[in-house]
Amino acid sequence: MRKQFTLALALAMLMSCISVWAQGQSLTGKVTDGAGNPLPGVSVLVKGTNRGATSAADGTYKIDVPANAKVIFSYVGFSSKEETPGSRSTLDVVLIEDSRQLEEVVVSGLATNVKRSNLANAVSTLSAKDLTGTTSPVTADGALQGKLAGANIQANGSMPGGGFNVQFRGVSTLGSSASQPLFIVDGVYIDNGQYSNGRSQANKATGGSAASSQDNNANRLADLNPDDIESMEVLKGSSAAAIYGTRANAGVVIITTKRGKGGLTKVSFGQDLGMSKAVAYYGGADWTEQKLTDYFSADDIPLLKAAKQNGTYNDWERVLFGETGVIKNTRLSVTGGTEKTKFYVNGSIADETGIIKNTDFKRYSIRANIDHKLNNWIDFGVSSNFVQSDNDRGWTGNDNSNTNYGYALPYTRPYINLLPDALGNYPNDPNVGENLLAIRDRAVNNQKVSRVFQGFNANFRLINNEKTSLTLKLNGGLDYQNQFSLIWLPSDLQSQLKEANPGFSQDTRGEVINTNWQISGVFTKTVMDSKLNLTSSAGLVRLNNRTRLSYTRGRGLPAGVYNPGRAKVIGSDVEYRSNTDVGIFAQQEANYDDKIIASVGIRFDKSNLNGNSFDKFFAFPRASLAINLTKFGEWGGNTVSQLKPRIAYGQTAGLPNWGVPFSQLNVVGTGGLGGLTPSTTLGNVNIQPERATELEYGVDFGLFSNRVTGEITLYNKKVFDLIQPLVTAPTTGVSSTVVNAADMTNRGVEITLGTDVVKNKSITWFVQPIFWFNRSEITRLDIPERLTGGFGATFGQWRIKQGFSPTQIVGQPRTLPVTDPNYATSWTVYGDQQPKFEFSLNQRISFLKNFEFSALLNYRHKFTVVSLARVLWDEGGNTSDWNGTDEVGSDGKTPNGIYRQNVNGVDENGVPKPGYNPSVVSFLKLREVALYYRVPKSVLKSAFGNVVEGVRVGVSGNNVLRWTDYKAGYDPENSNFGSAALGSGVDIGSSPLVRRMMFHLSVDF
Amino acid sequence: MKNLRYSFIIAGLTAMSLNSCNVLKTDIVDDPNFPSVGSVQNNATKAQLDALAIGQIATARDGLATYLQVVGTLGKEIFNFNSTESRWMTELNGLRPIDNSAFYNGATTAFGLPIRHANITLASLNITTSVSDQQKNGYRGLANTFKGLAMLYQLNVQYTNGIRLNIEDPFKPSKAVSYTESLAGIAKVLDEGATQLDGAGVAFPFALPSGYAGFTTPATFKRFNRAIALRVALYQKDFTKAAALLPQTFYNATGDLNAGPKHNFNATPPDVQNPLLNTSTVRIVAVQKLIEDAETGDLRVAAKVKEQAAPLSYTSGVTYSSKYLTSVYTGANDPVSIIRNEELVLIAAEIAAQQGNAAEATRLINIVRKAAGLSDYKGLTTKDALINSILKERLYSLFYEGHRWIDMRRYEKLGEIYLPVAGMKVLERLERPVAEVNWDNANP
Repeated sequence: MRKQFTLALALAMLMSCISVWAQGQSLTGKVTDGAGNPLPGVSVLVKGTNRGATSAADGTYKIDVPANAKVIFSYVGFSSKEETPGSRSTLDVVLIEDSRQLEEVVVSGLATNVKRSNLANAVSTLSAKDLTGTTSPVTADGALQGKLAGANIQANGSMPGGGFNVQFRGVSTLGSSASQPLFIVDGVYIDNGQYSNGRSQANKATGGSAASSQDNNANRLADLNPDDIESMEVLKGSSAAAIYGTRANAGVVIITTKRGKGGLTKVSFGQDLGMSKAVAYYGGADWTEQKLTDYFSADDIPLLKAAKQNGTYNDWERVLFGETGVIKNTRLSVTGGTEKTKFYVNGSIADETGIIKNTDFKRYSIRANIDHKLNNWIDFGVSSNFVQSDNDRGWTGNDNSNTNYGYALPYTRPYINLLPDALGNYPNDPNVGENLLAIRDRAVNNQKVSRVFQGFNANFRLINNEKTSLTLKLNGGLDYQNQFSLIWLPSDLQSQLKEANPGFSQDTRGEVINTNWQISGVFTKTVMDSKLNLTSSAGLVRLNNRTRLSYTRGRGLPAGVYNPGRAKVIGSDVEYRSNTDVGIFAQQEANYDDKIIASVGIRFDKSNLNGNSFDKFFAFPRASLAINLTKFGEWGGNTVSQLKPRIAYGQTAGLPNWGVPFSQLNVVGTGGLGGLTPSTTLGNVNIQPERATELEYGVDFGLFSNRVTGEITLYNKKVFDLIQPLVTAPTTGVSSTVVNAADMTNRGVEITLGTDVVKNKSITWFVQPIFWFNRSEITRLDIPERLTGGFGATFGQWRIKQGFSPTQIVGQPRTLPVTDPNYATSWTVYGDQQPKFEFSLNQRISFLKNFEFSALLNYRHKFTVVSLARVLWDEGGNTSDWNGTDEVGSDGKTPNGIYRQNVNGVDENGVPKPGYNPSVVSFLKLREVALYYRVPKSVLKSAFGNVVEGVRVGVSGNNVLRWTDYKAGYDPENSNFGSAALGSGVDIGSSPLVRRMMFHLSVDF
Repeated sequence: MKNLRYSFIIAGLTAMSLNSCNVLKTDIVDDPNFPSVGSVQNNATKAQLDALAIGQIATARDGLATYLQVVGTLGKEIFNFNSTESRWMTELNGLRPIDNSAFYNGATTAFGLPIRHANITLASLNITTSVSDQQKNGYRGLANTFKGLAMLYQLNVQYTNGIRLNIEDPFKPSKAVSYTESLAGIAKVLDEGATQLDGAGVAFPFALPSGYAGFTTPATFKRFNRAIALRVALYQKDFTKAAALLPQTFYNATGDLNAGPKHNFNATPPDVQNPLLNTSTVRIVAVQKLIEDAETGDLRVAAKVKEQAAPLSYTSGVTYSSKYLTSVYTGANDPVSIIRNEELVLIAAEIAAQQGNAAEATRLINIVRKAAGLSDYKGLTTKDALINSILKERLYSLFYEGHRWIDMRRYEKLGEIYLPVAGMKVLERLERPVAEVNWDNANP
């Protein structure tokens, strides 16, 4: 055996040996839930061995049990149960539902799992019920909002199709590495990029041909149907994510999709029907002749008079943002299979229109997950998902051409008629330079994505006997994404007619291919009288990304034509990117009788994004320890049912972004001649990855038979060698290069409690308070302090300065006298983009047997938003309180709208006036709320016979209620700059927060 | 069952043996998208040097629109009615504090690249063996001319803050020196360029765009170089030197006043369209009073602004309206003059006035006035009166060409600039850009 084992390893574990099965007594029985419903897929395991079985669709199981052995029954979402069958040959088991999921299995390595009650890290797991059980979120990241301690998840806007900025435990990079977590779906490393489509060039928000974060596109996690997700495991910090090495600095989210459990084929049909509305408006100030005379143009008085007389005086905000969005989600799933082959097939259509006409998101998804047992030692599975997304995201956000209606609206006056005439011609807007209704109805901003997620896994149980097992695992997959975006501003738009070549269109194509595979071996051995379980794993990972982006842009289009190939002036660009990462890992886990659980591991990674270090391995060690104190004797009784101190340490890294090593020559032209000129940014071939270490410790406890549970975690995450732009003096012709120049710490506390306030047959009331905060500080900075993000110091920018938080926002005015040598950088501190703390309250109440109510409240306390929104509305004369004279500090005569913009919100002494932007704000949102009713089986039986197994109906909502003290725009959750690590959260030209209300019906056959 | 296991083993081993040597390997990634700076630094080919020369000419247009619009606003000559950016009207007009990190600092920073571009070309020429020494002087002369011009633009905006004269190593730039030293440094760069052009033979090794017609040989291009040097001498108030430089330029008192090198534009990439066109958001208007104060029948006014049926008004942060929209450029491919004979004629007049030659000054003023459809100058012929008259002619002749503010500043007359809105101020210079300040603080 020993020889074979060595050989097996030597040949990459391809040798095998014959399993030897000890003889014992056969045990059969049925597993049901508290209500007597059979539970399929329950794991039945002989304690201390690898011998196990799974319950069938009718809940029955069969297993050989040695004499005096104990059997453990466990199932996700239920408390597990340990039984001693003794001489019995049948044993029926009832499992009780458990909202705390201490028994669920959590990923502990690249090839291994651990039971939650033995886990040494604060890994948050969200089940399908947590994610999509209350309401139907559009995207998987949206489904996480407010549900996770330590996660700051911010919506970039309210467009259908999402767009979220996900930050775990503070910020992990200052911008030159991946700011978003790594998402892995069924073992496939998926792409979650935000891709430019040229909208910022169409509206001149940014010049040139560069990719822009101001295009306000969805991040591509939007392609994954949240309804397919069985669970999401969130590895927030380096200590939990260390085994993912070089891509894990911003955390890792492991998504497992639903799989067939075998048994009778079950068909489920679900339908959501809903609507969405703006939560609140911002403008609406009245216009008077006096107002025009005093502050605007008296020449417009006749127009104002006429409009008020003719009833053509319109609040354009209500017209533009006042539509009712329609939500229609349909899904049909079929699951089932045999002992050998199990399948899950789900087809779904998500279709949602926005509160702005011509904005919508559609996603067509078909998934087939198939698992097959070839024989008793080989099984494999495939996960196939084809998705088509179609997103019209409209025209909000920053703009320099009056094109974006989000930007034009604050300036658009109610007495100007914008409605098209009988022939469909849109009148010009003489003040703004564009009719926002013409943009809404005629301009195009569409992105279509076709995508294939293809995962595979195969397990070869080469050794499988009572005390020893060796499994060879192969897994990996492909994420293939094909994008097509179209931007079109027709040539006869008012603003386009002013252009030298009227009409703009851009056709953008993108092809993103991620492939990855992993080969690993897991060896387990039970020693010391079955008390000590040892698990060794090792393997190799390789991943590859290829991205090809191209666009064709046309200016000067024939009337009615959007094909840029027909334009008078055609420009195009192509960009290629590719990289390869290789990793080797090994991990040793030890579990002593569920009392002491320890593990150590190491990963070596290299990536050719690391410039000259393209072939160099970097090491990422980890270690963890958890002690289940209540397992040492019976001291805890029922009062202290669980007490587990735990500590974990790990290292991860963040790779430099694409292109960091390159010093480029740009192609320029003049007078028909082509030339080259250096880029103003210098590459750095000596760049190293950003590295992080994290020490995480805490305690998990359960009181009164786990009726009250809690998880308290403290962490200290240090990030080293942060890649920073070395901002040079720009008059040298070099604006910046990048260097590894900074260190930072993130410290924080995460507390999750769970209480069954009431738990009896008629009512269960589960309350889960979640509290967390994070404090960041830059501890080393080898470059001059700098400002980044935003629109200049007048409105607030992010400051990178040693001893301060990198998310601190500062701006004008300067606090020192002009004569002071430090005057130039003596900025006023506005606050921090990270909240002081965040708090969520999750509640689930089941009552009257078949009713379930759930609600998720999310409170974010005192964070800073850079807002240009109110400045725009004040300048335009339309802020709802523009005409008032009650602004704090005002002389009582000047209208608020004038007072606030005058001298930049700074008083005579250079002190910011009250209410000045950016604002320190808080919000409380009822993120999710729902009430469901499950039609009793008896009713179904009498109505449909045995055809219908279950029917559930319900109503739910997103953002149903909101309170905020944010006065400088629609909603403090906003980002003109997408999901940047620093510099997102700038509110300009935005649209209102949207409330979604839905009716749900699901039928199981 | 056994067979199955064997087939797995064989398949596995085959796959491994085919791939195993590659599994751990990662290759270096070369930039698949752009040529690298390194490629021209090591024995550059003639084709590469030609591309750098054209790149230099193209880069000379960087920052042009920002510069002209910022300088024009500061001198209250033009206003940018920018409907998406009120800071053109408020901060640049002294109504709100100036921001050292705002977009308008491009009026200083955008000129860093042409200087660096020239330095890369010059360094590359020192080690390449692909071209002759005479040809090298052609590339060098061109590079130094545009380098001097870019430095001068920087200095115009920074004024007494001064500029950095040596930026060959962007990580060890020299400190900014005084205004006087900066001007001397710029003159030196231009003089070096002139000397190199003298040694560059009869033809450049590369072709120049059509905007440089008349300046396509080293000898004729040098006239452009000397014209910029003349501007520098004027700013140095060294009228003796200016008088010596004048005949070396393309100055021609009887010639086309519009003669001079021009920037070419084209909307088709990689070229860019004329950045000075008015659009729906960027409307460059003339300060109304300046146009109203013009003499009746001044052709320069009609050529440069267009009276609107209804006044254009601006209400974001400040309220102001003007009837006159600039109309200097109308097409995406319209070229933009770098320096024109009209400026040289007026500089000649200024030199004459400064040197006490009132008759010559008057004669030259009248050349410009005649071309503008105006009668001869009838004012006093004292030096001050003539200078004032020249400043007035320069206002209309060189409108929207970036001179008014600098002219009034060099004669210490910023206080005389008409302020169209109460509370507006005329700034003497822009603040040093924040990144410049930060760099010096960190690298004392």
